[in-house]
Amino acid sequence: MKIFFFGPIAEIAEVAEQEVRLPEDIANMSELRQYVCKARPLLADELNKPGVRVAINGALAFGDPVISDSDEIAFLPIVSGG
Amino acid sequence: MIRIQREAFDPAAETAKLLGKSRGAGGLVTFVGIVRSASDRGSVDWLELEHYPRMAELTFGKIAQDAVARFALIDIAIVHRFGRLAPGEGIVFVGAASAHRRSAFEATDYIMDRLKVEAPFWKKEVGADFATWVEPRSGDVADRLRWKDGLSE
Repeated sequence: MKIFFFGPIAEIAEVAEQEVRLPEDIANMSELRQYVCKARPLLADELNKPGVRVAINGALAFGDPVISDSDEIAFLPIVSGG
Repeated sequence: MIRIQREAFDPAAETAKLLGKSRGAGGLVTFVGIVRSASDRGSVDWLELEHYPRMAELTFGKIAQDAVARFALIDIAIVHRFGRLAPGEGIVFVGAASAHRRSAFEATDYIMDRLKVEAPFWKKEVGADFATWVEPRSGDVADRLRWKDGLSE
């Protein structure tokens, strides 16, 4: 699975992109989020900020979708384009 | 026409290109977003714009499709930059051509309002003694809510 971090999240993660093998006991987004926060405690504060969204394969995720090892996941801080 | 690029764009050339593709149009409205030379924190030396290419393309495609359908546009253009931008440089170009002026004005406004809160871009303002990620203005969300569509939540 590919995980992307952007903006302030990437800065704290000190990496923009990471290839991970999805542990077998992780089936959905909320579990992945917990897993990432646990593996990288510094990231937890940033990921839990209001307005942080998640995308699966380039599309915003809603609720707590099921994920698989072939997905591309992105953690998105509040956007500020334009 | 949608482009996401590192290079600077020429608003006049983009306008001419759109005009050339807008046969039957009675009005063409364009907007250029520009890097401000100062922020709340002081004088800005440059902006660093980061984006998520895959999602940015999908998002612009959806916004463009919705705008064309909603305002019966003849053609539109969205050009957005990433990378390092200096004050005074264009960040985004939006153009809309339609049979009558009102829908072109409204479409440009609509595209920008959606782009500000939906497009996956992040800017960092860098000055002599600061480097800060820009938070959206509270008005940006209110602006987006003026248009009651594409709100899937």
